[in-house]
Amino acid sequence: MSNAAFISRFSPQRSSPEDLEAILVQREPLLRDCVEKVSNSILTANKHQQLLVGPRGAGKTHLLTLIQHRIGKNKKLKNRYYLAWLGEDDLSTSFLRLLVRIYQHLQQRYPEVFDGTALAQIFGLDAEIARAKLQQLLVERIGSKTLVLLIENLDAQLKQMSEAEQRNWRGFVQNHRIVATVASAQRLTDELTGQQHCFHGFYQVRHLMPLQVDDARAMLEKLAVLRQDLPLAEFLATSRGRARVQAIHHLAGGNPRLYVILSEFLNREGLESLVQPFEQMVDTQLTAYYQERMRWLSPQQQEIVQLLCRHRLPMAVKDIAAQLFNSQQTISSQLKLLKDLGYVAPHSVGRESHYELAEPLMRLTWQVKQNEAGKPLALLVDLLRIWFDCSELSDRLTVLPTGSQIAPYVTEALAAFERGEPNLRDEMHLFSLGLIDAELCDESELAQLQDIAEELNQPKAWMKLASAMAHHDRHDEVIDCATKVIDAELDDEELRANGFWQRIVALRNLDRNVEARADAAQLQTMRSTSIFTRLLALVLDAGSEKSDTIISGLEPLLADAKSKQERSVVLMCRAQQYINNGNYSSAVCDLSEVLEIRVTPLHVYALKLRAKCLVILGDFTGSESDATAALAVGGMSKRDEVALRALRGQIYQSTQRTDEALADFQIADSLDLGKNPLSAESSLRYFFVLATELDENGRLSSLAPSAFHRFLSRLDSESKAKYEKKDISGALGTLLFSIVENQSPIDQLALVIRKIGVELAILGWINHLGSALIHQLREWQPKSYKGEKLKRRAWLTLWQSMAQTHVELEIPVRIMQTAFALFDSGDERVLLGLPLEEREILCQALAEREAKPVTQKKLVKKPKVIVEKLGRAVRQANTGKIAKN
Amino acid sequence: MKANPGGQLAANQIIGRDQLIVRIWQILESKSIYINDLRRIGKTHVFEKMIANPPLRWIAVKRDLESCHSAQEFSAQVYRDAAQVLSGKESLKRGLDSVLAMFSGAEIGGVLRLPEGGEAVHWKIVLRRSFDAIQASIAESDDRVVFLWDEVPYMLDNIATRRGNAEAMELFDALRDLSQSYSKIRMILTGSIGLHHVLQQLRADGYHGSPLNHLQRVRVGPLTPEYGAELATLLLAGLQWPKKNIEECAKHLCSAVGNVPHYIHMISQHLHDAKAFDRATIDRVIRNVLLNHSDELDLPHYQNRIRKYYERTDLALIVLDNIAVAGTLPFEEIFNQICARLAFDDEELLRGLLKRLCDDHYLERDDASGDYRFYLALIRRWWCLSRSLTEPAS
Repeated sequence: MSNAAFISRFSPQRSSPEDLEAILVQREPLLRDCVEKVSNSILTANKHQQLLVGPRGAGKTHLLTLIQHRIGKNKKLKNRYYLAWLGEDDLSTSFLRLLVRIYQHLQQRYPEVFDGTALAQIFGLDAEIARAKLQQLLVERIGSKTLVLLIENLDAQLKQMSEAEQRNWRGFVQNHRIVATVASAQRLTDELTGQQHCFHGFYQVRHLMPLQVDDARAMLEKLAVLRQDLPLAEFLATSRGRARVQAIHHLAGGNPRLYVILSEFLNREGLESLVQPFEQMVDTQLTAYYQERMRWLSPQQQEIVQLLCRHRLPMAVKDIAAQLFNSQQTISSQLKLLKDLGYVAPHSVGRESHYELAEPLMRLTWQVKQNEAGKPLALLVDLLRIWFDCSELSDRLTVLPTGSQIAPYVTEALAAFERGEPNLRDEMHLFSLGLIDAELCDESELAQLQDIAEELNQPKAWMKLASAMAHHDRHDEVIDCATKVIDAELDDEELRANGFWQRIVALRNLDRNVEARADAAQLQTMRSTSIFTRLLALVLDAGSEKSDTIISGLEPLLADAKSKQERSVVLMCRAQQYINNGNYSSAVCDLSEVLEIRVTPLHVYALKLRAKCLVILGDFTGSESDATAALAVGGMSKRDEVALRALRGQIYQSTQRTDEALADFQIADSLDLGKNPLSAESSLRYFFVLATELDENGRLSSLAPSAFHRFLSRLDSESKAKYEKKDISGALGTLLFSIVENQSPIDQLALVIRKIGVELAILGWINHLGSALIHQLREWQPKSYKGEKLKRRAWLTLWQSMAQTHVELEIPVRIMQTAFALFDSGDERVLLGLPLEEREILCQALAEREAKPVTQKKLVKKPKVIVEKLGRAVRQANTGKIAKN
Repeated sequence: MKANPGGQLAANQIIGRDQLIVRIWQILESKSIYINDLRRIGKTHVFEKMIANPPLRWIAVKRDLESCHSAQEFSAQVYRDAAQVLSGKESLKRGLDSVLAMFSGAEIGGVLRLPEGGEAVHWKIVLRRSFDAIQASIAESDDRVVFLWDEVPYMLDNIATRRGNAEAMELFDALRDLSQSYSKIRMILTGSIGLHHVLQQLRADGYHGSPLNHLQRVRVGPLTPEYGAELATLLLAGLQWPKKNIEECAKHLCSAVGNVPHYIHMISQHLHDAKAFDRATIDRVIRNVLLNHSDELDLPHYQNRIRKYYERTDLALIVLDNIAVAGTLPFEEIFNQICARLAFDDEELLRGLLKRLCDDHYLERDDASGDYRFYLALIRRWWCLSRSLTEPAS
């Protein structure tokens, strides 16, 4: 490693490879892969054609240099390849001229193999013959080795060649399998990608990504070490150092060349010798290139790019549109095109899109072009302002020699401070803060936030850090950050209140509830903070069961509410507390006021709550009206819609509007909430309407069993217990009734019945089904209608197959079988085939008076007796003590 | 194995083409072949594998012809290739020397320069005599020769541009004659662009020949899922990142890109840069390529082409949109859906359009049902993304 490393900012090829290795960041995996592929091309029949793509200063030449360096060091590759490097200014208009350049480069490196005499003989020949001869010469001289071709500016090179010449090139590579290419390009042009061009898909494209902040910092640190500037290296490792790099990052845009330039600025000795060659570099190397790039753009696009050149920070679309007196839509579509062409890069800041130059060197070039003679370049002045404090700049100025070239830059930077211009470093930090999403940031961004917060030491930064820490569950650090906000001298009470809130949540997460309540109490007294924050604190403080406490605590909030929205929120909260207390009338009053205020989306919730209160108070008309209005507005959760439709459906049903009830229940049933009491209840209600109401054709719906199945499948443990208490047998009786009485053949319903059987078995309710089957037997008594025997047989067959799966149904099915034999034959002797207990059950079931169709209201209570008897019968069967007559 | 999208592969790294190659050799027993397929599907790799290991008694000669700009150059190249490959055969050498002697031509630096003034005739005769010499040299043996000619359409396009359509037409006809006249010589023609594009241009200038009719058409197509997974597994194993569930990831990857080897290589390359691979990363990388790097594959070409070359752009777009969303559609359904959107009742026009979309590799037909679907899964997915249609489930 050299003592005073000459990192040629302008031409990595002139830097020592060891130094270039030392400062490599981010790209080691890429470099390693490229080198491996070149090696693979040299050692095997594979030939890789690679292309590195990145804007000016992205580090392409750096990588090419290191590729050359690494393959040169590899002993396995020694004497197995020849290398030719065609630089960025070496452009040819034909493949023949390209071949000549390649040969000439090879001649320089390997004169013993590629002699000049052979080449000289080709000059003056007909172009086609010369091409053929030179191809042959190269192939012969390269022999069994591989030609490693490093070629810069491939995009520009292809633009110089006609399609025919490109085909000559590609044809040579394809026919001879001796070439492995590593090329670089600033962008992917049509010649490289277009399907109509011969080089489409020919190269493996590797995009060079801009350096991230950590990479940039690491690069600067490595440069400092290389220059033996250890204090600088140590500073860069601190959080302040990291924050400084973060601030500069927006100007440098992740461009390695700019960071190399910057590193000179950070080195006092380098400053003096930097300015003039730097300006020259811009003038000679960059200006022409960027002027050419600007020429490709339309006038409107040029305006946008120039505007971005004038601004340090990314600009919002609306601001660009405003400054260019154009519509946002037009500017937005132009920005999209510019993004696709690689001129601009987008950033999301909150919900807005911001755009900045994709190539920061373009800003530099533009500044040079715009610059009046002798004035310092704005970009470099900005870099000084960000990196150095005012006092540091003053110190530097005092020690600069007379006639120093850097003095104007330092002076200009100081003048900005004196003019009272905003602190540029803080501006950059604040912008960076805006880019990081506190909820979604990863560990690396969290570390960046920390650095920025420590550097800025402003409450907003601490607040953002607290929020990010909260999302990473780092509660102790949340408390630290929030405390800094709370203790700061702040005019912004809202910010302080947010600090309290963050601290309260963190304290509760750490079970430090006493401290949390103390903060909550304090928060409630901050009358200048938002109602919402105080409301949350009140609820948190009071806990969920103390409705009276909350209701009384809401009075001052109501008095302090400044806007309709705030008042509505407080009223809604109070109404909910009234409902918790059973005080529905007061709840309706509050909700009515909320509805008068009409603040969406509270409006819908208020309607929903009032509908529920009114039905409890007996005002069915009002409740129906509210439910209808809420449903008309829409946008509510599925759960809320299910609840409202079930509520309205019940109202319709109670007022004999069956069709409307059916419609609401059907929709509620279709909105699947999974295992959920509300969902189960909706399905059950739907079932009962289907099972007991006739349709326009006078039939029962065949959808009832499916609805019942859904009811069962949606029961959770809590709702299961509830229905057990209510006696599920009645519902099962209705189910059986609906199956028998609708017009669909029974076997068509077999599948859903089997599913119901499975659900009942899971719930442990098969016994109830058995009792319902027996209870229903009287419905099967002979009525002398056509096909009744067949129908009974089908019914029996269905349940016999169910009994094979559910053993609890064996006895009921046996009883059914005997009953049907009795109905068919009329001979009571068939009863003797049953054990005594079972015979008694059957006789009791048949002796009951003929009942009307079962509805929800008319659940038969008698099945309990049958269940008990069945239970005895099962036990006796199991113990073998049945006395058979 | 290292990802190498677009590059040249060693024969043993060309996966999954053995069955196709066996079929090609079988066809060559009786006919010459025209391979027409999408760019980057692997046509050249098939050639590479064929010449690496030809069956007994077959002599394969491969040549990329895109740097030929005249029929003369082509004929000289044929002469040179014949001389090189059959260099051990004295009879061939005598035959080829007689060509030179007949026309007092000279080979200068490997380029056959024929006397001025007779080129238009001479190149045909050079071709004919070269083929005569080859045929004669192998007549007494079981040997056969196959020319694997890559980038034939580029060559014909070059000739049409530099020398005029007439010479291109003549060369087309000469190729047809050659393929039909020599029982022991076969040829396989292929290229990055379809020959039908060049033919279309020549037909506009009055060309009536049917140079492809006598050739067996073969499509290369994507790999089978098994071979796609094998290739993907080898490439993923070559990455340096932690390898978990490599086979599952390989299957997912190749399924997502429709088992096209070039795309498998390309996505593996991107996975190297992503520094990880699992199903989620694979999906993310593919989506990123489709959304942000579609220019690398020139995917917009598929839309631009419709607008540029199809008279009924509206029909073509509706057809492709509907098939992209549905996955596969029978003709009747396509017709009905168009009728539902446009005032349209011309079934024959639709059939012609669908055929053209198949020729241009947008679509293919299911062997069993005849239903239409996108030829490549990745193109279908990009089509949905770019036109804001419902993306197919991955």
